[in-house]
Amino acid sequence: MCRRVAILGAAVATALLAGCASQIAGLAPVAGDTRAAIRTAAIDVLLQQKLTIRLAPECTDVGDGYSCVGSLTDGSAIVVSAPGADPTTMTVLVGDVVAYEGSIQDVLDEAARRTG
Amino acid sequence: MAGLSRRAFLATVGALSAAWAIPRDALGQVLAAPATPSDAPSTLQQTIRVGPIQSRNYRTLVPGIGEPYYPRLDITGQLPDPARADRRRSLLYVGHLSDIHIMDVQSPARLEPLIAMDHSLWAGAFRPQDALTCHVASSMVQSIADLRTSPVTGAPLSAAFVTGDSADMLSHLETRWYIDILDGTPVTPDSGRPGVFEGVQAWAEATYAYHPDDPGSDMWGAYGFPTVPGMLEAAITQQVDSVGLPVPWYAVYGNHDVTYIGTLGVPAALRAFAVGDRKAVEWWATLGSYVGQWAADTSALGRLVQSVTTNLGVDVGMRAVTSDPERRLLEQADFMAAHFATAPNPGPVGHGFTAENLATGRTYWSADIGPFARAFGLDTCNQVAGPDGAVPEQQFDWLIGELERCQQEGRLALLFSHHNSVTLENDAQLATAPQRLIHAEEFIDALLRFPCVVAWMNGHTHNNTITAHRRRDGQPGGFWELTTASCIDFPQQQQVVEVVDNRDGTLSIFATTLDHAAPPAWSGDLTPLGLASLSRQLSANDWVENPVMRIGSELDRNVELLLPSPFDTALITDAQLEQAQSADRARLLAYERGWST
Repeated sequence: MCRRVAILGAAVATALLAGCASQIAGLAPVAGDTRAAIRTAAIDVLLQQKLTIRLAPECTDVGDGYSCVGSLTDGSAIVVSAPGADPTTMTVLVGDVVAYEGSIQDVLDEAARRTG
Repeated sequence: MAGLSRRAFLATVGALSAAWAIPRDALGQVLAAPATPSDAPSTLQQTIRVGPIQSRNYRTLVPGIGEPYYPRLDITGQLPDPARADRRRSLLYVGHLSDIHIMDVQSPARLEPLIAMDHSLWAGAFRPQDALTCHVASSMVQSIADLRTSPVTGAPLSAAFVTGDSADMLSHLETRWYIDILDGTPVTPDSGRPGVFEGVQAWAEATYAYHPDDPGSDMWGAYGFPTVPGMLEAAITQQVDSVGLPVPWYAVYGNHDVTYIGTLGVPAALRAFAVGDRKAVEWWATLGSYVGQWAADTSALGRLVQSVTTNLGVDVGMRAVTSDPERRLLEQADFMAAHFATAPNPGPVGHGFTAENLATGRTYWSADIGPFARAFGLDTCNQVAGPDGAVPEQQFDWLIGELERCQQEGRLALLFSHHNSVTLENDAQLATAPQRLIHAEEFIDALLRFPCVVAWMNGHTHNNTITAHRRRDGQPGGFWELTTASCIDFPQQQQVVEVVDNRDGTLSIFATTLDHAAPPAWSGDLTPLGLASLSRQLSANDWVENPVMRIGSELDRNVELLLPSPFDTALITDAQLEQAQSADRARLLAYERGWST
């Protein structure tokens, strides 16, 4: 009986809190993670290819994904695109050349495990 | 370079010798010695990387090679003069800590069971390394103290800044522990019944929690987290010593220092619960009997639920624990007041907050850091709801006035806040005192009007990120935003920051990333330093947090950040610099001698 009442109470409390979704969402890993992951992975791709960055990619939420823009010291444009609300893949363009196309997480994992 | 004359040098030695009670000869030798870049441990020499799998998905950590400084040209747009290294002189060298998140894990006020409901949503409610936060903080203080002279120029550390989320749950005890650790006062991170761990990590039915004594039945064990017999006992029974910061340190508010779990207002009933003798072990008990109290304070339906559950004596899903009045939750002003109960050295008493702050309730401050720089400690936290922040108009107007003064006086301005430029968008208003909230774009635009603003340091997102803010009118200039990682989530890194004058019309800001002093690979050591090492390893495997993302890129760690000089730095003479650095060196010597004054 007590347990059922408690669960009922929990259900009601949950419903009440559902109205505060934006606050509760803040309890998840703090904001900006997706954008940070894309930017970090894109920079790692560029540096692994020994490219010299003048303007680090700046990423923005473009509604249906993320887009990042930067440049190299030789003037080449850096354009990173990652489609979807919670993208898992990205394309990194340097000028007209595709520098990388694939998983964001793979790049992050590889960078974190690189010891030399 | 033309430094102090012999006469001025002797006068300086005499004055500082008297001020710090250091023998004149000993101080004179230190001040006469040439500054040499420190080779104390930092990520310049060695990094920490994710190593091989130890069990199932669980990985150990291993040393990696050091990372040199990467010059960032985002603001100047051109390659720097290679000869600048021979000309440069240090203007300021400071430490930056953030998001220390000290936890009293036995407190009934914690919400650990909620991760059983939704791990991703409530990830901050429980992490496997939660019991080891004091150990990490102490280890981090050691790293900053070790690097008390600059790895770039050998200049002495002048100050350190803590950009919020110092305590995790508004707790008096957590706040006390954080201040003591930074001051160099030992703490024993225990509460309730002395020496007995009363918390979810010791309760077998809490299968959502990591049980280091026997993780065989919990989800962490299934992932491969190790069996560490005695970890909890070692965590709460050993005294954690701290070498203390060697320089004056300054604090600002973080969202965890002003709202409950950094997000919610605090209902009155919660305050009683925090110092009570029941702790939730099931998520539905937490929500029904605990978070429900928050709902009860804010809605009629919530009050009805609260009344029913209370009258029926619903107490299932709870465990009895030993109550402790020291676990009381702080009110907003209490956090400032706590900074006045502090050691006189390294100081300052109040740590940025002043008697005027206490009297007026104003939660932001400014402080001169030596003769050439001024620090501004902002409160970007929202007292109403939500983890993210904004700058209230009244504070914004004060800052603009202060920056105008800074510009006129020819001082460098450094800003410190908890929130960063991607998390300044909270619109929640106090119904009783509404005021316009300034968000990131307007805030940055305003700062860009003042060339004296060279750096904005912050935290909140627990990852290393360094962002250039360039003038938007196409003219050269701008400032750098340095967001540091935390002490709670991997990679558990902080930073030291030095502003140098290249004497060619540009400044360079060197940011150096620090791992805390504990070894990269955990050896089974259960001393406080060993527990800090274990904490880092556990955090690297907390899959919900995506730990590898938080390291940031190479452009966010060891970097040289170039920007135009905001004024003619030749107006700062070498003699003035030497005098200021002599005062800082004398303080460091006093620290090394145990603050004998």
